[in-house]
Amino acid sequence: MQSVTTRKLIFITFWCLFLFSSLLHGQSYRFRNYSAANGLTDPYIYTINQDANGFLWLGTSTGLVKFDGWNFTHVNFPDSVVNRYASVCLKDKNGNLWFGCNDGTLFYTEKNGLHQIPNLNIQSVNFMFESPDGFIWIIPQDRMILKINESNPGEISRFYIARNTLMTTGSLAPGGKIILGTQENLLYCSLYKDSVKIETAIKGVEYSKVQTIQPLDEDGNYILGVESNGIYKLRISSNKPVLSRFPDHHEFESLNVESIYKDQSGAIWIATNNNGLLQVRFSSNSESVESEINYSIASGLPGQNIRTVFQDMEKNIWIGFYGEGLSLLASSDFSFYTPSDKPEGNNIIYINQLNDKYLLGTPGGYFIFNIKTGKAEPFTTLVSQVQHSEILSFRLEPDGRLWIGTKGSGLFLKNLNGVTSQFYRSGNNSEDNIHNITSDGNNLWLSTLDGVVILDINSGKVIKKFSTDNRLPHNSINQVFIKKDGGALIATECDRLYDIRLKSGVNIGKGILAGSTKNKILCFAESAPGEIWAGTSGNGIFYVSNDSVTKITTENGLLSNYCYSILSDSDNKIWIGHERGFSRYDINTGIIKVFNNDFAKGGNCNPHSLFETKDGKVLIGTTEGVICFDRVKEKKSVNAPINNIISVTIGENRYPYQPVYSLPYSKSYSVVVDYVGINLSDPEKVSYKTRMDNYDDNWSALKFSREEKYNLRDGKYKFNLMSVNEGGIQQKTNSTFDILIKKPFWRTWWFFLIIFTALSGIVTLIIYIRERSQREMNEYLESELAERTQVVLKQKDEIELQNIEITDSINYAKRIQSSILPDVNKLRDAFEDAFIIFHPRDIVSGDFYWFDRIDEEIFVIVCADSTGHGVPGAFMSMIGSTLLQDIVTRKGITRPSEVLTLLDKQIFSTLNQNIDVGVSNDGMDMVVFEFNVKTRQVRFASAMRPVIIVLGGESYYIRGNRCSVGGESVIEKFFDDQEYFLAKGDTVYMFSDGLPDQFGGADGKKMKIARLKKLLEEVSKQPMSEQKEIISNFYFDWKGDYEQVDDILLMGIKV
Amino acid sequence: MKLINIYKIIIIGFFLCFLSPAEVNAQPVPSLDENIPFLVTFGKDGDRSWGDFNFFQTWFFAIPKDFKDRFYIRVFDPDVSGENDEQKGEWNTKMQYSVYGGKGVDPEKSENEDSRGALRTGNFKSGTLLSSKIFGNDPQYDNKYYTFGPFIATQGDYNEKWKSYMFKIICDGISGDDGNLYKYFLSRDPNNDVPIEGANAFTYSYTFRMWNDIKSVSHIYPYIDTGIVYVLERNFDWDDDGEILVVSRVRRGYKVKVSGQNNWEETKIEVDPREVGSSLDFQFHKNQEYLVRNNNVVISLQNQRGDNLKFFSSPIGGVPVYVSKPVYRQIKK
Repeated sequence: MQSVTTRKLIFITFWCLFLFSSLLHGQSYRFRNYSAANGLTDPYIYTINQDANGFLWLGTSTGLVKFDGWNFTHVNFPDSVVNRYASVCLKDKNGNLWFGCNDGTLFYTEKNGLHQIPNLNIQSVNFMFESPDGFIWIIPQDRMILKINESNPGEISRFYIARNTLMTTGSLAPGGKIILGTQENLLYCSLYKDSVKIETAIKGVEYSKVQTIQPLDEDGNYILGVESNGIYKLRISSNKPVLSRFPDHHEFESLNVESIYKDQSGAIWIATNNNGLLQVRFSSNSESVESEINYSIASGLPGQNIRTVFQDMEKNIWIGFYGEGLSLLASSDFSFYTPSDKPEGNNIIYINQLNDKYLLGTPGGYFIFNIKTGKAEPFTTLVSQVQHSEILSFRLEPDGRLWIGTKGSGLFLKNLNGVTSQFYRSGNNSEDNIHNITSDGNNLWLSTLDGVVILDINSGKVIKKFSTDNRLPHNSINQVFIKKDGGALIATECDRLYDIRLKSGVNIGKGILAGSTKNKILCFAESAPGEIWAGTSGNGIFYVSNDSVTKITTENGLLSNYCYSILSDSDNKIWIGHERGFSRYDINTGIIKVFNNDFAKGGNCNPHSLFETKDGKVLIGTTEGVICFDRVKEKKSVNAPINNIISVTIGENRYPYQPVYSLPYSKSYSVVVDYVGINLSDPEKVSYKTRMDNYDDNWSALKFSREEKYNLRDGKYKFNLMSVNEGGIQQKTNSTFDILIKKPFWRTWWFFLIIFTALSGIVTLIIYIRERSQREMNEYLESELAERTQVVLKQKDEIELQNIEITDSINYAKRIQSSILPDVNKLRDAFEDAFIIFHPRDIVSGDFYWFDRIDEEIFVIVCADSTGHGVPGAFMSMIGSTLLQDIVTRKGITRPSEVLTLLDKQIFSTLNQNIDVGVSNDGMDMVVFEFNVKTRQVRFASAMRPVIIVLGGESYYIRGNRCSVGGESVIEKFFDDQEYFLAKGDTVYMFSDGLPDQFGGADGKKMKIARLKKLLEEVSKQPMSEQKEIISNFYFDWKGDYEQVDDILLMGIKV
Repeated sequence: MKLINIYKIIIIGFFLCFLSPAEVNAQPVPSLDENIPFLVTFGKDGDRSWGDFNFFQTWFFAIPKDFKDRFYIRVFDPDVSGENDEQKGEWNTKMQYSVYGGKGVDPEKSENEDSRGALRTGNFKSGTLLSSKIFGNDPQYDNKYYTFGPFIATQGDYNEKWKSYMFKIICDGISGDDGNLYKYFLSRDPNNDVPIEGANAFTYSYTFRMWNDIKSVSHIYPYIDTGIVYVLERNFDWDDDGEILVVSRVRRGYKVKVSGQNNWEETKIEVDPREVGSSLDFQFHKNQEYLVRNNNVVISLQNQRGDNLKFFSSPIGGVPVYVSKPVYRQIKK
C-alpha cells in the first residue's frame, strides 16, 4: 500500500514537474502587471471586487485600495484603525460591496460611503456568500456563523456552532443545508434555531484545511479547494454529500489552493499558493474536465503565489498576488510560444501550416509546432545541409516540399524524402542572397540582393531576371508578391509600384508613394484584387487602389512607421509587424489598434513572418518566439467607459465628488475637475468630452486629458462629463455635479428686500419720530403757546390797557395839541380863503402850524415839521408852538428870518439844559410867512422846507435854507427872507415832507415833490375847499393800503 | 574537463566557507547553541510518562514591523512516522500544525494569557488561523520540510514594546500516541532557510528531546530581566537522566532538582543582582553511567510573581533587551 502511494506521489510529482517545466518554455499570455511602479504600493492582495461605478477594490495587507484604471487610491476605514485588512469581499445584488476583515470587522459600501456593522464579536471574517433571499452569510473563524439582511444590515442572525470548530469557508447546499469547510475537515450542517447542527463530516478531506468551496451549478455540484491537497468535486444528491477527485487529473491533487473563482463564462479559476493560476472548464454535468490552462511565471505572471481571482464587468480577469501585486489578463486572445529553450532557437523568420501543425522557420532550421498543445517537435537543423549558411527565407509548398533561401549560398530544396540539396546557385554572392521566396505555381520568384530571379519550379532553370538593367528601380529586393491577378509586385526602394509580368516585363504604377524619408518598400499584402498594402521602412504603410494612394502612419495611429511584415487576414484586417510590437488596421472602420509585445519578451517582428491559419488565427514570428492571436477569444470593446468624477479642487482644497458644491461668494474661484471614464481594459484609449453649463456653449472636443480647469464667478453651473471608448461607445447619461457660487449679498433679492425694508423702516421711523417730535413740539408749542398766549393775552390786556391808557393819553395830548393849534377860520378871516390838511400819523403830530394876526396888517403863519412824529413830535411841536408864541406874540418879532434864528437858538437852549442826557439833535423844519394882508406883500423864511407859490396861475417852487431849526448847533445857520408881492387870488402852499414822502400809487413809490407840485398847479384855480378835498382824495388814493409814513400837513392860503 | 570540475568544487566550497552560520542554518527552533536535537509533541492518546504533559507545544515568532517581505515557517520532519519520530505501536498519530496571527496571539497582552499555551484548557488557540495542516504517517514529509506561508508581518498581532508582529504555531497531537520529533525554521525563503534579521522565536513551555548520547549537553538560556527576584524552575519527566545545572556569570553549576518518571520537580533559584540583564545557562547533562534513550523533558520557568518566563530560542542579533515596566495584576480571589 505504501509503495503504491509512493509511486503515485512520484508520478504526480513527475507529472507536475513535466507540466510546469514544459510550460516554462512553452506559452505565455498578455498580462498587464501592476506593482509599486504603477502606484500599487502594497503588493499583498487578499481580495478583489468591483463596485457599481466601475472602481476596482483591492483588499491589501495595509487596507483598502481603489483602482480606476490609472491610479490606486488608499481608502481609509471609517474608524481609521490600522493593521486591519480586508481578507474577503462580496458584491451583493444591490451592488454594494461587503468587506470582511482579519480583525472580525465587517464593512459595506453604500452611497459612496464605507459603513461598519457594529458589535459582531468575531475573531475574523474568513468567508462570505450571498443567499438568493438577499442575506449575507458570514463565516468567521469560530463560535458561530452570521446571517445579515443586506437590505437592513442591522438585522443579524447568529447560529452557534460547536466550540473548537475553526471554520474557513462555507456555502449553501440544497435543502437549506450549509457546507462548512474547517481547519481539518468538511462539515455538512443544518441550521436549527440559533445553532448549527453538524449532520456529518464529509469523508474524503479529513485532516485537511478546506480553503474554499465554489458552487458549480444549482444541482449540488461544488469544487473544493484544499490547502496542499488540491481540488475535489463535491456532489450533494438526495441529501447525501459525496466527495471525489478528478481521476484523470492527478495534477490537481497536489495544488496548494488559496481560492476558487467561477467567471461569467463558467470557467473555474484556481488560485494557488506557489503553483500559479489554473483555468479549468468542466463538462456540463461537472463530471469531467474539458480544458485546463496553467498560468505561471512562464506564462507572463509576475509570481506564483496567487490569493484571489476576479472577473470585472468588462470580463477582464484580475489576479491578486501575495507579494507581486496585481495582474490583468485583459484577454487571452494573444498567446506567446517559445518552442526552444535556447534564445537563438526562438528567432522565427517563417511560419506556414503543415497539415494540422505549423512549420516555424529559424535561421538554422525549423520546428514543427503543435499550437493546440503549445509544444514543438524536436528542432530540425539545416545548418549542415545549407553549407553552414544562415537561412534567410523559407517557402513551404502545399505538398510538403521546403524551399530554403540562404545568405550567400543560393537556394536549397528539401524534398519529400527529407533530402536537402542545392537547387539554384548563381555564383554571384548578391544573387545568392535570397531574402524571400514566392511562387506563382509554375515558377519560383526569388528576391535577392541583385534583383528578381525567376526559376522554373521543377527544373531550376532561370526563366528570367529583373534588375536595374530592365527597369527595376533598385537591385535589393525585399519581397516579390504575387497578386491575385498574377502580377508580381516588387518590394524595393521605389516611389511607385513596380509590377512584373513575365510577358510584358516591368510595369510602373502611376500613384506616387511619397513619405518623409526615401521610400523603401519592405513587404506587400493584397486585401482584395487590386487593393494593395505596402509596408515601408520609415513611411508607414501605403494603400494603393487603382493608382490612388493613401498613406497611413503613426499620425494615424500606427505603432511605428517601420513596417517589416504585413498581412491581410480573412477578417478584413491588415496586420503590420514592427520592431517592438504590431499594429492592426481595420479596413471596414479605419480603426487602428496597436499592441506592444512586452508579454512576448519584447521580440522584434521578423520580416515576412506573418501567417493566418485556416481557423483564423494570426501567427507572428518574432526574434523571441511566436505570437498567436486568436480572434475567437478577442473581446470586443463593447463596454462603455463608466463616467466618474473623482474630485473637485476648489482653490487650494480638494473635495471628493458630491452632487452639489455650494460656495460662498468670491470674486473668482479656480475650479479643477478630475475625472475618469473607467475602462479597465484600455484606460488609455478612453477619451472625454465635457461641458460646464452656464460657462461653455457646447461640449468640448474629445480629448484624453482627465482634468478640466475653470475660473468661475458667482452663478449656477453644472458640469457634464461623458467618456467615450475607442469604438465611440459611451454611456447614455452624463455624470454631473452642480456648483453654486452665491451672489454677493448686496446683489441678492433678500438684500434688496432688507434694504428696502430697512429704508422703509427708517423712513417710517423718521416720519414717526418726526411726527412724534412734531406732535410733541406741537404739544409743547401748544402748551407753550397756551402759556405764552396766556402771557400774551395777559400782556395784551395789559398792553391794550396801556394802549388804551396811552391812546387816551395821546388822545388827550391830541386834544391839548389840537387846542393849541389855531383855528383855521382865523386864516379864512384874514385871507380870501384857506385850508389845512392835517393828518397826524400817530394821533398826535410832529407837524404843526401856528399863525396869528399880529396887527391889522401883519399875519404870521408858520408850517413846521418837527423831527420824529407821534408823541416826541408832539412834544417838539408843543415846544415849537410855545416858542413861536413867545417870539412872535410876546416879543413882536415877525420878520421870518429873525423868527427862525431866534427859534433855533431857543430850541437848542431849551433841549440842552440837561447835558447829562447828552446833546439833543432834535429840531424842526419849518417855514415862516409874514403876510401883510393889506398890501399882500409876503415875506417868508424857510428852514429846509420848500414853498409853492402860485402867482397868477403859475406855480413857483421855492426852496428854503439848507438848515433846520434846532438840531445840531455846529453848523453855522443862516436864514434869509424872501419877499413877494402877491396879487389877489394868488395862492401860497406850505407843507411838511409827509405828503411828498408818502409811498403809494400803483408801484408803491413815493409821491415826491414833482407830483405834488403838479397836483397843486392843477387844483390851484379851484376853490380852496375843493382843493382840500381833491388833495385829500388824491392823498388817500395814492396811499391806498400803504401805511402813512409820516405826519401830513399841507396848508393852502389864497390871498 | 575534470580539472574544471575540481575548480568548481573548490570555488563553491570556498564560497560556502564565507557564508555566515546564520545564512546556512537560518533561524532554527531549537537553535544551534541550545544543542537540542528536536522538539517533541506526542499524540493526545500518549502517556505523560513518555515526556509530554499536555500533548501540544506552542511557539511564538516575533517579526519586526519593518520587515516588509514575505516569510515562511518551515517545519522539518512534520510527519509522525519514519525517521526521528518515536513510534508507539503502529503509526497512528495525527499532528496538526496551526499558524495563528491577528488579535489574540500576543502572549504579553494580559487578555491573551491563554495564548501562552501552558495548558490545554482555555483559549490556547487564540488568534486568527492563517494556515493549518495535519500530518500523520506521511512518508513524503519524513525527514523533509513542509513550508507554511507565505505570511507577511501585518498578519500578526502587533506588540508595541517589541515593535514586532507576533505569530504563533501550535503543534497539536490531535490523535494517536506516537511522539512527533520536529524542528521549526523561520525563513524568508520557502525552499531555503534564510533568516530574518531582528526576528525572534520563543516559548513558555519547552518540550524537547535529549540526545541519545551521554556526552552531549543541551542548554536553554532564559533571560533574567530587570525585576526578577527569583526563578522557579520546573521540569517534568526528566527520568533521572543525569543532572540539570544552572550556570551564570556568578554561579558555577547550581544543581536543580530533577524529576523522575511522569512527575514534576521545581527548584527556586534566587537571582543574584549581577545576573540581571543576562541569561542563565540551564545545562542538561545526560547520565554518564548509562544511556537513557529517547528521553523527553519539559521545562518551564516562572518568576516570583508566577509569570511564565520566555525561552528565547532563535534570536538574530541577541536576546531582546528592553526596560521593563512593572506589571500590576489583580490578585484573583
